[in-house]
Amino acid sequence: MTVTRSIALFLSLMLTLPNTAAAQAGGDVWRDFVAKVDVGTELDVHLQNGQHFRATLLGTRDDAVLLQPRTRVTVPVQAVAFDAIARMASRRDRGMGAGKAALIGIASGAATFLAIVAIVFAAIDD
Amino acid sequence: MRTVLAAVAATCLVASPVCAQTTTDVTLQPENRARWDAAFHLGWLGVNKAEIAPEWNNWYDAASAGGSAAYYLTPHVKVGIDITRGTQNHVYSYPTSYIAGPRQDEFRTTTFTGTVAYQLLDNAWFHPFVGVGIDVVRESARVNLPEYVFRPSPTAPPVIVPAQISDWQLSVNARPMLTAGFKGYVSERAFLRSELRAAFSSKRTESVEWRSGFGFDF
Repeated sequence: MTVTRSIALFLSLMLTLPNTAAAQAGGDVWRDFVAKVDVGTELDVHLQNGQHFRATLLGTRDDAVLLQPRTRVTVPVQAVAFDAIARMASRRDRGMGAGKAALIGIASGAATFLAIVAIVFAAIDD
Repeated sequence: MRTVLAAVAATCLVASPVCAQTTTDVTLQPENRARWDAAFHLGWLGVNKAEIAPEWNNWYDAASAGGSAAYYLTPHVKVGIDITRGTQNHVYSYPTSYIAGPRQDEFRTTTFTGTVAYQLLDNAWFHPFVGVGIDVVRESARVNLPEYVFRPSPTAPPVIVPAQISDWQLSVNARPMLTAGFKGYVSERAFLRSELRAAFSSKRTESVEWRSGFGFDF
């Protein structure tokens, strides 16, 4: 039974590998993708070298996509070669919801309150 | 002429982003990134006094306040110094002799720390970090024996042991410490920082401090 399962797992992996390779082949996929995305869209970008960042789409060139990384301190516009892109997705629908924002606010408030209480107790202890 | 100049200027502005060199990796650090940060903090310090205090009361708590400064060797690695002052507090212990009352050991500390910290993420609004360092703890301690009254026997007059307070005794110890926390930026350069620090000896955890404060990159 274990051998059967192992063979099945191996075959399943072998079947998935070619699909992944095909999806990663060349930058044409990303050139086509970017052509269908509006300028100004926020993108989630993974590069072949392992870098991951969020950026705003500014435009395209023949060989590259022009991205403005969303950083705290502004950095120059980056022309990222299509071939360097491993994965890219729009973040249009991934904003923080009201529920999540409220939860973060409540947690921050509670933590601050407890911290102040703890400091006051420590200061007037005994 | 003005029209031509304006057209040239407009062309340059439009062309700027297009002139970006094609790259296979992305720079997320600005060219003039901040090299220093400085912060002030308030905290809650717990100190282990198991060598003199009973098990039920062997840590004392104190409020703490201080400041720190750090230099970024790289965007992720920084070295820093820190000074923290704790408020005075004490632990109780009860001598076995029946002619003495509860003993109160009082402490106040000033801690100088050198740290090396690793900060995760690049040029983000939220940066977790971990670090190691050395705490040099300058601790002043004194013994406070409150006035104590006891009767050797029911018929004997009470004996009053007057209150005694010793002079402050100074000691200095160095201990390894660990820290972990985060910096949350509220603007490009200003941040709130919160962290948990612990110092150790070969036998035990010597102190734990939670602190929070604000600071600036420059």
